[in-house]
Amino acid sequence: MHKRKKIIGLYIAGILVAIFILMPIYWMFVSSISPKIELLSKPPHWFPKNPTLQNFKKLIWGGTGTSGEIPDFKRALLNSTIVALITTTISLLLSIPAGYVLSRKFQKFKQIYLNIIVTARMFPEIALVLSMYLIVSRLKIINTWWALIFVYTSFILPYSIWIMYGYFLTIPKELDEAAYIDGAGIWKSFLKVDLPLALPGFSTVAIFSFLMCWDEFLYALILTFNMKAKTITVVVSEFTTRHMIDYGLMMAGGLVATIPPMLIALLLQKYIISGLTVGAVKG
Amino acid sequence: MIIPATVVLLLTLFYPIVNTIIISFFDKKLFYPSFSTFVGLSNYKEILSNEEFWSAFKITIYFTIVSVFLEFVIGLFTAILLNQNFKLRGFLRTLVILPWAIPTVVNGVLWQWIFDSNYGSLNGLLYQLGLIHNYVNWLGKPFMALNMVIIADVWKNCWFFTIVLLGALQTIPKNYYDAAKVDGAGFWNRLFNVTLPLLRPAIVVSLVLRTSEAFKVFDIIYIMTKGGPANGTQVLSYYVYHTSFEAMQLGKGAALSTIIAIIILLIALVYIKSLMREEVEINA
Repeated sequence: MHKRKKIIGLYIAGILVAIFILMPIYWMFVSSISPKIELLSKPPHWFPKNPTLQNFKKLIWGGTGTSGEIPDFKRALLNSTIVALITTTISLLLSIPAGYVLSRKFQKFKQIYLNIIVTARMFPEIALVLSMYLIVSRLKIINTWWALIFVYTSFILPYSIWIMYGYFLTIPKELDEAAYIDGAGIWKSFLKVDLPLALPGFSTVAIFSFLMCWDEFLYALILTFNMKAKTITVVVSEFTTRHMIDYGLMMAGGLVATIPPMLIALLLQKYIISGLTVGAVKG
Repeated sequence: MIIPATVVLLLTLFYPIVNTIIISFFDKKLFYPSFSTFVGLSNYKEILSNEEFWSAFKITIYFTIVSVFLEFVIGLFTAILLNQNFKLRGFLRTLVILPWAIPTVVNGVLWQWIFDSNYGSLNGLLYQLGLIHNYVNWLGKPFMALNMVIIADVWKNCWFFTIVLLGALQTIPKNYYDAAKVDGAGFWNRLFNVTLPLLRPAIVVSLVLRTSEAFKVFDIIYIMTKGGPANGTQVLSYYVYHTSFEAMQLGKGAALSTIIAIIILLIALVYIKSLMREEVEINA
């Protein structure tokens, strides 16, 4: 009897949690497919009577919304994707050898270096944005992909080095030593022995840096001012700054911006969980 | 092999930091970069004697404490729930990743729409349930707006604790609980005497991380309230943004940035100390 009560309690709690999570997401979805009349009804239509893909069509083919000309959404998607991909590639190329060396050699300065990395990872973007603005203006790359890639590297790289270092630590040093005895140098043992074993870490870094770039808003807001470089987060935010807010269009845009990270999170759950728990759970 | 990464870090991170500190000693205006005069510490003095700064400071502290506390409590209990053996478990474990994956900006516009004073679904739901008789302007009053933004933030971020604490819970051997049960310990007793002490390292580390994140909050404030109404949600980050890019006072903005950076560095110091003290292996 007691056990049955417990199971029922678990199910009730579980269903409540599921409702809490799903309600807002459901509402975003419903709003994106509701025609304007239904969207602006009191009380709200929880199930749209005449669902429409109008908002999504507007996003893809452009046109005018209630709030005026719709920004080029496809271009924003492209900007976000390219900036995220290039930043991720640069961070990977730099952080893998750095993380490796920190885990193998460099024992004297290791602790200091790691402390600097952890601090850099927590450093507030808002404290740098002003300086970044001036630097990027001086380099004449403001309002380009390169401006964003430059500044995103500043917070992605410390994070990447930290995770790669953690992964290389889990690979036994004896494997390297065996390679050394066979006459391989540090580069060769790194490429042949450690790199293949660190592949999960590689994936975690790639996924997280992509997601962090995709999510970034503050720098993109300050450093881009037209569709040449504006990212998806800036474009979604701009649906709100006009006089009339077209919530249906906004929810459709939000949904499109959410699909890539959500798919990544669902398909690559394992890496997300290991990335989040790094440094928080005893190995 | 470490040199390329170090050079890039020096260029992209340390140079901007030094640059910010230098600017903070000058009276510099955006668009008039040539007119900058050295003013020593006067930017700092001005900020620390400004009521707007202290108001933003208090609001940031309130936001940080309340949102992190709620996120932690919800995260802890859902982690314990998801560590139980029942059929919904796998489904829920996937579900908790969804809000986490939604971009912060999208989360902001979503909740702004939910809280809308004319057509929002929160008003609609409470009205249909008979809990309110008139639609409420949730984001219209300073203190209420702050709390509503906290709700939006908690909904997205509490699952970070769920995921991290669940990971730690799974490392606790089951027989610890069996032993406690044999001794007749109830749920709360087991929570405080078995679970929490064993989760301590994970709790400390995740709390410090989330605290530093919450302290930096900007995106959701910019989207939902722009620091308003009546500066009621103007957190420090938004105050820096306003000073630097709306009031265009770069020197003052830089001094503010430096002050915030120092506060975050103190939190980072606690983080590093706790990592060392808890002897957490940096292990993936």
